Amino acid sequence: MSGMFKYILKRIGIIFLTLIIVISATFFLMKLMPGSPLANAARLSGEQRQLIESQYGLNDPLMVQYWHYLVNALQFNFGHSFQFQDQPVSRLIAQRIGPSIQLGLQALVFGVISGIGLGAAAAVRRNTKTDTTLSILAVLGVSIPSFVFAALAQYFVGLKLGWLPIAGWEGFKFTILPTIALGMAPLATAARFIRTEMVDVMGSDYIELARAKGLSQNEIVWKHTLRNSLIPLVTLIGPMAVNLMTGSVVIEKIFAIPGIGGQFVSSILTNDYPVIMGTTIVYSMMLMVVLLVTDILYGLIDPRIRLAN
Amino acid sequence: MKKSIGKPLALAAGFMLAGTVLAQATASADEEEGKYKPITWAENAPLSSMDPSKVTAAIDFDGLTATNDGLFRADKNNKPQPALAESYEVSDDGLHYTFKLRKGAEWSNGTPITANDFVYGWQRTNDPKTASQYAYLFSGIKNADAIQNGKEKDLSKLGVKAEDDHTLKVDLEKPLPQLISMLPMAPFFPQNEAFVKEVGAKYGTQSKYILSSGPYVQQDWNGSNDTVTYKKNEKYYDKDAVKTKKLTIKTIADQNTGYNLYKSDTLDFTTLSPQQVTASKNDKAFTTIPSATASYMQLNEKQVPEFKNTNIRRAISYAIDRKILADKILTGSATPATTFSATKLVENPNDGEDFSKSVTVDGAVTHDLDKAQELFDKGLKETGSKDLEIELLADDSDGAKRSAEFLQSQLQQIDGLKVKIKMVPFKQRISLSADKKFDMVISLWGADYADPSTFLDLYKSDSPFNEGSWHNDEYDALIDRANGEHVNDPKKRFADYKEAEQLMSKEMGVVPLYYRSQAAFVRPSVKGMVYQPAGAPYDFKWAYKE
Repeated sequence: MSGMFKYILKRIGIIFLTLIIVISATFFLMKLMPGSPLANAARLSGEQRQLIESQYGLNDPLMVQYWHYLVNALQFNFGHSFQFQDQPVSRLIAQRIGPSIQLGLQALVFGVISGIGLGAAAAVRRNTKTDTTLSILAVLGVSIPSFVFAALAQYFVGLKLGWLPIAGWEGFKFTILPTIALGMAPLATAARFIRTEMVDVMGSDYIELARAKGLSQNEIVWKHTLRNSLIPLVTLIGPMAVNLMTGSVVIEKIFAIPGIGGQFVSSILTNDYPVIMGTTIVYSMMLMVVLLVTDILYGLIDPRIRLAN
Repeated sequence: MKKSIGKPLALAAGFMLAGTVLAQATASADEEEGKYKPITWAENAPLSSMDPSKVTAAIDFDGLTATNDGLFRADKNNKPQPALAESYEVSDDGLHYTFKLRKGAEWSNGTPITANDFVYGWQRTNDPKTASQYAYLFSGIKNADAIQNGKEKDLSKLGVKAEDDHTLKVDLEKPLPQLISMLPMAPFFPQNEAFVKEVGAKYGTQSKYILSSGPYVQQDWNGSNDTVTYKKNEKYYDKDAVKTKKLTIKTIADQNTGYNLYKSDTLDFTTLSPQQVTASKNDKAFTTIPSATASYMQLNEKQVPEFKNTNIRRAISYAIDRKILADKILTGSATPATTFSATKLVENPNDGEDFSKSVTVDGAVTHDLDKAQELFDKGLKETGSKDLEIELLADDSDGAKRSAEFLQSQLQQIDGLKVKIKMVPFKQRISLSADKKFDMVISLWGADYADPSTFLDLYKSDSPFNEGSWHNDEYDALIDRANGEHVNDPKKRFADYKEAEQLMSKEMGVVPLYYRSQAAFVRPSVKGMVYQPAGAPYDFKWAYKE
């Protein structure tokens, strides 16, 4: 276990370094963006703009601004938003990240579990009509953008049928449509992945052996095939989680979810430097933690990986 | 092995559950409604500040206007009417205003609203430390410029004084005919000194850190949430005029979502996209909300010498069919422009007509392709050029994006004129045009206040907003006369502005494109809404739902 502990410590060190690189790269890229962060810049003369910008320290040399920022950011002090005047960035993020995380996790859980079920069903009945239908559905799930699905679901299920709320975030009922819309892509990915893996595993020697031993079809599928096919899926969950974080920007807008996505997009459009930086740091932290967790999980699930370490 | 997979899922499910419980706990129950029903309105962006000194976004103007009164408040016809001021007097030279304040008006915390609240609020807005982005509106009030640029450190030198609790004196450096029409705007609202100092930097960042002087008090805004409610302010001096007990404003960024919510009776208001307008034009709820905002093209004479030629500028204007642009391209959000000054800005006191209508020169800003070609050829000959290739700068905001390609196709109908499009983000367009790095740019200007100066002063040759560098001595002289010799005589002053606008139309100093408006669904049972074309887009004071 001490090997594991060392490994995690090393990974945390790498996360920290990556974070500094992310902060630096974002800072300079952001400063390359043209335009003033002042919301009313279009109505201010150059002189007036300068006066106000100097109040915010925006006229300091770039390296001075960078140093101040880096020192503050590493203490999790992201400063105050320009767009949301006087609001601390940490507060803006904290208040809106909850719905985003909830939506992402729900979509991930929904997508992966349903995907495994459908994939397994397709594999067991491979080369039948069920398999073909499920495969077509999976291809559609991957290729239809989530916002198209979201708009259709909102219109038909929400407005026409009135089964679920159209938009908003006032309880579990409100999360169902966005979860399904966001979960379609991971669902389809997981389904296709599991089907391929299971078909592979089913042709392997140890399944032949199990069959020869006279195990029932159910035992073969659930105990030996599915379980062994699940291991590689863990590697997919990391990238999926990332996709969900970015995909939720559009879904949040369509379903009027008070998440962090819309705030992030508008911070970029308005040159709201502190919010851009704060959100980028939080996003990249989340991403790196997810990757770390899946790596650790993978080690726990598959003894061969642990040995290799 | 089984457990290892189960754990993260269980953890995830736990998070989900926790999130759901939290979300449900925050959903509040509805209470008393009174005789009139609650109104639920939609805005396309979240509230960003409730500090009258730091306001910038339209939605913030709406929130502040719902919770405050100024010395004046704009009525249904967009005319400023006394509100916290009861009456006022102006000296003959137009430099000294004395406002008599209403007695008995109170803040929502029960303290009286006094003249000092205006003095403090105005000083705070002008204080460079506040970094107000609307302080420039105060320019012309004694020492306002000097205080804003740091040359005068003593805030009390600002030309606003409380003679007693109910008498406010405002001294100007030069007459400001637009002063009264600016007073209904948020930066001119009173601010309670004791309260602002008590909450410090948090002032205006959450519902609990604001005070109301107006029709409603705001509740449960935590600084970034998407649903904000307003309740009737029982301390408001004019509370009898406020019929709605509860007003909810939701952030709905997607117009399709807004449409669906409107159709399901969840919202009483939603703005419409051009596609939705086409489908909804005959609906009873269809409403066009005016805004004194105009779109126009600036032709950069510094970068394209040919643009110094009046015939070429006129040719460009004549090539554009503004009716198609407004009806087919920008459906529902535009009407064809015939002037630089936006429509619904102000009434011309000389004829009682809308200023833009009253100053329109027949045939000056219209579509005539043959004439365009003729003028273009003539212009090229005069400038000695063979042909002309120009770049049209546009930003990615909806109106400009849609306009750019249409304008390109219209202008290229002129033989010898080639147009390329350069599409950039909004912020970049602003900085490129401010730096005069463009050939031709699609610009948009919304009125600051209801007076022609908010548009026409922009195009004086020394104005920083004259980005095309068009220069006309006669035009400059007219603007100077309106702000000088005739400044205290509204009729003569408007006559000067009329002449200036007409001169500009004939010379095509800028190329007017369209007047912007906003198509929307407003539930027919909602009455009494006031839309301020040059101020807060929505004023809910008199609104009620049957």
